[in-house]
Amino acid sequence: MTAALRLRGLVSLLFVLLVWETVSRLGIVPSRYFPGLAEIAAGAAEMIRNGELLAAEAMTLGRAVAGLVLATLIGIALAVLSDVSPFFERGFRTLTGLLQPIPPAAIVPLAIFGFGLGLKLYIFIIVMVTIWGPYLNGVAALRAVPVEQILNGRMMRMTPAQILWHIKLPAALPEIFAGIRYAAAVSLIAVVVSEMIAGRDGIGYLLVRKSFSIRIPETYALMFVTMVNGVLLAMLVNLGRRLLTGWHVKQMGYPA
Amino acid sequence: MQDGPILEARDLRKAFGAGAGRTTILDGISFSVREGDFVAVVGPSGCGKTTLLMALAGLQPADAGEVRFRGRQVLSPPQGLALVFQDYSRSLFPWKTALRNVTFAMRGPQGRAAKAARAEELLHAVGLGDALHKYPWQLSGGMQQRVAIARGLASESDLLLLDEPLAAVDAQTRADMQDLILDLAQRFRQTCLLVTHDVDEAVYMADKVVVLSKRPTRVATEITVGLGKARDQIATREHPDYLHARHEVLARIRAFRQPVAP
Amino acid sequence: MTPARAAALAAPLALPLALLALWALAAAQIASPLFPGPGKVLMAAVQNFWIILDQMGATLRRVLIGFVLAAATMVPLGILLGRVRLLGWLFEPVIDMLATLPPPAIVPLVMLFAGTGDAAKVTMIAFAAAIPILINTFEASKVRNAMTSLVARSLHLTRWETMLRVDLPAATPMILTGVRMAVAAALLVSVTSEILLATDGIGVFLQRQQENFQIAGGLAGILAIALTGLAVNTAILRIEKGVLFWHYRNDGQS
Repeated sequence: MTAALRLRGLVSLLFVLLVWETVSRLGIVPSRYFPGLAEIAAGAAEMIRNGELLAAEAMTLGRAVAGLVLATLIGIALAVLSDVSPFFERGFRTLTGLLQPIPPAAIVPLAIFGFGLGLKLYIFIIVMVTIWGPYLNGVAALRAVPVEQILNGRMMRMTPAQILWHIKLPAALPEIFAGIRYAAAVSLIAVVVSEMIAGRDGIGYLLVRKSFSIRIPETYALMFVTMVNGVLLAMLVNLGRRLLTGWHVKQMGYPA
Repeated sequence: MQDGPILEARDLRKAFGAGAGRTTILDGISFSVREGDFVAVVGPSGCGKTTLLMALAGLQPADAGEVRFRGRQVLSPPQGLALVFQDYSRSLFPWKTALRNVTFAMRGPQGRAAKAARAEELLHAVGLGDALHKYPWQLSGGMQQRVAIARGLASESDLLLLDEPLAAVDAQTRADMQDLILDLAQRFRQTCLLVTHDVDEAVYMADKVVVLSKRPTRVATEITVGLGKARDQIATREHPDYLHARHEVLARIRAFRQPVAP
Repeated sequence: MTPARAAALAAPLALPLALLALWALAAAQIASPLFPGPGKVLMAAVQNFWIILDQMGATLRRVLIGFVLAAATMVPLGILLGRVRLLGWLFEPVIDMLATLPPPAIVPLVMLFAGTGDAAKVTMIAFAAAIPILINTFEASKVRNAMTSLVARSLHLTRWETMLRVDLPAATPMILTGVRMAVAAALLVSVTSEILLATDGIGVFLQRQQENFQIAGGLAGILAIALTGLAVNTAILRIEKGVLFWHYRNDGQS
């Protein structure tokens, strides 16, 4: 099953590369704008040689992961608070409706005033746009814990805190992870767009700089890197999911 | 031990709603369970069996009347009282194996290894010796309910409450499980209170049957089943005493359906 | 009864109002132009009302054009890829890869091709909106319910009738989810492109406010975006519920 999937991914990738190379060679689009694969690879190699790619990559991934972890913890904490207090939940729902649709790009200019151009800026923006996935899924999942399980805890004379830690959170974790998976993608978007606008370092900044100085092969290479980053972050979330909710992964019968 | 009943319900009353929409569920329920007894509470659907059980377990107190467990008034779940729910698929923890589900119920100070050994023994006793490390969702419905029963026994409680534990399993499994529960109750000297809507099951399993009326619910009658502890799916069900008790219970339930209640 | 009902009515607003009060108090304490209170923000919003409306209009016009372009091309393409097995087999991994591309990363690339004008921005927006619509349409039309296709066959529907009257309605809930994601991506890319390629639009307004240290004005702009986003999301959900009443009934929601 997985072997077949991998083979298919490979075939598909080769197919795309082939089409790409053909289009580039045929000159339907000026090759200046549509460089061949070798040229793109050379651009990437050059950025690796002078060190700017890896430096930027470390910045971007570090920010995305740090922001995602913090946003997840805050999101879960808020979900627990909402579960304990319906009053808070109702009020926070209003805020969610208002804050959730704000695109990260809109926050960047003002946030630079408050947080400068360092890690704090990125963490703030990521948290602002990614807590919603873990939060909303957490609220729904905590509410959906079967009442029998909670009553079991009470019959065992567990305290409300013990019930939360030993019963409600484990039961809610699979759905919270679905929220985290979504948040991971959003987190990467937030980092790249912030780096593009803040303009000092990271993959987003590099992308803008290379494109403004018309380094076309490098621009394509960097876009490929941002896609790979998405895959890397998804793999990281998957690892966490396997570690913490392995039972659920098995129950759902996902391929290993 | 002590002479008094282990569990005693005195004039329990409970109503839901307010004003014109107020419905009385429990209209003064009194009965008791003595140590070593197997008592069945039987009543028609909707008569408030679950409400009664919640009050007995201390999960949701009644409006009036009191529950005494080992002589003490029950206001919250007391130590020494365990509950097995009807819906095993919702009451077992899907993130724990059968073994860990059982050890989780042992809240005592004994060590991890001792708990595991005891849980293993219990799972063997319910016939799940080869499913210790399976997750609930890898087991059939009947097997899941066996895990839940093993978990109920694990807390070594003085009284095991069983809330329609067999309502969701198929007929053949049901008969097997009835015998299994009876066997376990004897082997572990476990006092049990079984709540069910099935008159045959109540009479087949219990030493004493508490018959509830329709809503507003009262105790219609209490019937002692003189069959002794040993029961058999074929012989017991043909025994004159069984048939007599069954007749009594059904007659009392029917009598309560008449507009004028005694 | 009445106090309980009053509390229920107050609940959605109590927390936001408390935070607002806290903000006002903190702003009064700090008294710095870099930390304006809610009053100042409101004033800035009133002062800049027409500018914000105008700039927001420019942004939304591009979002709308880009979005319509994306929907018009990607829904048919998604259905095609979902229906023709070979194409789906070949392209699914590609689509999966495109899904991991952060939409704003398109901005620098399209700029290379199309420059910084209106057409370029619309192209960027269309591209960003295209991906979620394509993915969701593809996924939705790939799934075929064995039961409903049996029913369709027993009713002697032609292939086209089956597609139009059975499969398409079944696929709509998922396609509309893609539409909601597409609108968010379009708004994001629009604001990003405006900030980077300053010409007009709400992104440019935000950038100008920042450059002139007008924090209150900037917050007013963000508020405008938040309200717009809320309005658009609510509108789409309304439409979804109107079109898909059967879906929501089925789920026991709403």
